[in-house]
Amino acid sequence: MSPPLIDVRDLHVYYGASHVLRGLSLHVAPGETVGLMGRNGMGKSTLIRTIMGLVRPRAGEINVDGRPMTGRPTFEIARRGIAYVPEGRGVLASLTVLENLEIAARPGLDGARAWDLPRVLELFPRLGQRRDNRGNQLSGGEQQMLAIARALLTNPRLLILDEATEGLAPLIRDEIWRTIRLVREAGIATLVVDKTVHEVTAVADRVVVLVKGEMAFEGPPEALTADPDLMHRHLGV
Amino acid sequence: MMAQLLNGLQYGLLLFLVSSGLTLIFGVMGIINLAHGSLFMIGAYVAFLVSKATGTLWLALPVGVLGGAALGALLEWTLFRHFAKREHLDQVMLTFALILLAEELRWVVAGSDFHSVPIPAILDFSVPVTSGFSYSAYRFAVIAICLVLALALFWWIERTRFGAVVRASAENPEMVDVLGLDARRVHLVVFAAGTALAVVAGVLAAPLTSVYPGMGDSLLIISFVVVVIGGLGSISGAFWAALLIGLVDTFGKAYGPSFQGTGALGTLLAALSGSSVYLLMIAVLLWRPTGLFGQRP
Ligand SMILES: Nc1ncnc2c1ncn2[C@@H]1O[C@H](COP(=O)(O)OP(=O)(O)O)[C@@H](O)[C@H]1O
Ligand SMILES: [Mg+2]
Repeated sequence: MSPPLIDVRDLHVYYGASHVLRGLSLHVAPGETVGLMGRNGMGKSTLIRTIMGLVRPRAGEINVDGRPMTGRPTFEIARRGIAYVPEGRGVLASLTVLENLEIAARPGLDGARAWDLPRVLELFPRLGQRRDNRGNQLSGGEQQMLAIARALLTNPRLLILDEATEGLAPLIRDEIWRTIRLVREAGIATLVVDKTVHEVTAVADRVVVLVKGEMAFEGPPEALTADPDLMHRHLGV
Repeated sequence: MMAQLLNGLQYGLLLFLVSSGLTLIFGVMGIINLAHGSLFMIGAYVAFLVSKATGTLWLALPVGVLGGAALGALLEWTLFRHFAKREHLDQVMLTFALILLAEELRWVVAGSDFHSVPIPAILDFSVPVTSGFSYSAYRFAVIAICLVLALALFWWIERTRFGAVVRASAENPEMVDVLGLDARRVHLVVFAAGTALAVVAGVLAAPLTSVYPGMGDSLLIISFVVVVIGGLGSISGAFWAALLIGLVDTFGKAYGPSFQGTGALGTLLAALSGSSVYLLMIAVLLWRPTGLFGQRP
């Protein structure tokens, strides 16, 4: 069996004195869709930022394709085929829509350019209409589309989305969820952080719930939805 | 009057060559390079040495461009990249040490005398502009070369994919890493280009100002004024601010003293004319604290 795409083991992360991730382990297999849930401040974003090499763990290891990547620079981790759309989207305000897309475009690890400019513009026609606008002239929904389109242009094997639907109008949220399904069907693994429980459980192969930097639940989405007590305690629904 | 206008333009454009590198390097790497004025001085001494050795200035231009870029790449690779994440005080110490090193080097190679650098023979004449006024052909050439370089820089930063990555690095370096782009390469190229621009400015200025110890110091200070007025990290801001400063400084120094002896106000104006650029800076910062083209916080 091939090794997991990412395999995080026994991660401990501190911000100053506060112990934010407490021996957390997580893996994502190629092509797998994993939903990451938990209330605010439980460590979801920190986990993702640690995987991306943006936060240094005090202990634990991060493997990509079975190779140790702990402490490697972020751009090298990204180059292993991991695309990350951060909370707040990270759209570059001083660049046009087209420039935001162009600087990201590259072939995947397999050398193929399955996602190119025409394909992402077909996926999000709005972006084509706004191609010469600067990043700071876009609405929140357009920014999110741009951030996802830009991530896809790196031809990733894993797409990590941190609160991609937060603060968006219902119609745009639906569009984002449709895109996530499409990405999933294209065989790209996804790690989705979101608070919309019914959407996450509908799309994910596996769900992980964090509580105070520890794993409180891991399993198929049906097992989570079948346990109202767990849902209430850890997700507030 | 016409001569002062052209002098101001020419001075402003040279200032732009120096300050554009300063502002780019600050924008992308977060480092204020105090030794940027020394790079200008190095360019001027390169002009002096090359024209002494070959009898003409021309060879100094390619030497300045290529040597400047190589020097910049070397400095970034061996020193600056290791200081990009250090404290500001460490960066000040590093760049100040480089100033001392450059002065020491200048003393060893060329001593401490003033040296004049001859204007290239084919440009050593005056161009008649109007019936009563003609202007130095060499200064016209400097204006033209600076304009070409400024246009090339704009095109590179504003119209190419690499330029987009440079702007992205200045705005959000983390996102550049996340997209899988190697920021170290961006820093290397930006530092090399900024250094080459400052060195070339020194080469071009040498026949106009002579070469002398510490000649980069006052220019460095004026370049800071340009960068601050233009807005930290902004290329187009640096361009307009450099022209503004070039004109204000030239006119201030040319006409300020003539107010002398025209009453108390005149005496005050005459006394302040030498500091006109600093007064301009204070005025701009009071009006717009982030500079003319700076990002609003
Ligand atoms: N840069 C930071 N510095 C200090 N504390 C932080 C920082 N980022 C997050 N935290 C704290 O770490 C905890 C986990 O935050 P985060 O990973 O953002 O949680 P989540 O994404 O699940 O909402 C929270 O208590 C938060 O306040
Ligand atoms: Mg979060």
